[in-house]
Amino acid sequence: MVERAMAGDSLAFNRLADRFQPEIYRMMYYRTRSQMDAEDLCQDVFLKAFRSIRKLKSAIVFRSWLYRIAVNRVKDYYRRKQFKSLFGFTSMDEETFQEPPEMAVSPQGAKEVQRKEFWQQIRQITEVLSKTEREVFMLRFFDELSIKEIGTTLKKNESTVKTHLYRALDKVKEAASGLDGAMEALL
Amino acid sequence: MTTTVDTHLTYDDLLRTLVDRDDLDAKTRDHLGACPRCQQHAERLGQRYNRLGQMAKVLAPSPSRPFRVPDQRTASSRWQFKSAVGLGLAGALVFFLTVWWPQYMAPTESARELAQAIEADDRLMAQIDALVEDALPEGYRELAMMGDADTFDLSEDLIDWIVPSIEETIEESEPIG
Repeated sequence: MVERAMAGDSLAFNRLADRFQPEIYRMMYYRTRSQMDAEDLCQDVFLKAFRSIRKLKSAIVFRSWLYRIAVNRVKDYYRRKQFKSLFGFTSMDEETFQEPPEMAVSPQGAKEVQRKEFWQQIRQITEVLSKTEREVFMLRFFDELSIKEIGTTLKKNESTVKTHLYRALDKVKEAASGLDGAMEALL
Repeated sequence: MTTTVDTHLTYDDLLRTLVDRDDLDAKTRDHLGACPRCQQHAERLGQRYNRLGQMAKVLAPSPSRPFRVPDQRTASSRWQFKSAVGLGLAGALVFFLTVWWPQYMAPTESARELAQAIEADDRLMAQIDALVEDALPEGYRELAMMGDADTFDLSEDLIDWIVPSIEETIEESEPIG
């Protein structure tokens, strides 16, 4: 499928998008906590992937390559937001940005409350991490990438990824011990 | 192989198993392979973190619009349309700058120049006509008494008086009788 898409087959690329869009969308949502932004960023990622899939050297690394585009797109998203806030276009703190209630999914229902609490706690335990540690941690446990895939995505060798992941786990355990409720029980 | 309490995996070791079990030193790895308790701890720790990811996945919304590759034909025809519009506008601009604009600007300038030229020509013709009528300048004309011939018709007499003809001079100078 990837090879057909690399050869310029649009239908094959659409099939690939159907296969990978949910996880790329989730990845974007985990990092922006905004459905609208995740939606837009996700579309951007696939559009960029479609335009540059011919440059992909091997079909095997397609998933990592797609995640690399996504990670770069998220960085770009925050960079732009930071630039805007610098000039007063937005007052949002980029690193801790959370979707305001009116932009979020309907706050009705227990699931929504659970979602909010969950992400609030995730934010609390990941804010003690450095940017790279956080990214490695998210890619490993939230996006379920292997160490090798993370290395390809972040353009880092595997031992560097492992070191970051180990440090991240250590810090997360520390941070989680200070939390009440489900997250502490979870970790 | 014995698995005593003091050789059980530490929490750091368990974290390392979570990162990559192969990175453990040989002794620890051997212990993990033989100790059901440490295996259970390692497994439980792994499950906790995996559950974290699973929970995130469950609580995340789903994309509302599927990605579709932009239609190449539509994009192409749109591009062609844009090109045609662009070319049309460029052509209109060139026409405006080379044909319409000079024509619009030129009449004002040439009409003024033309009027000035006609005026100058008229003045020149009037001067020429005046010279044809009378080539002498005004001052010389009065001096030469050649003003209005009808009102002052003394030219011949005056000239004769000023410069008498030789015949008259002789006649007058000859003794009578």
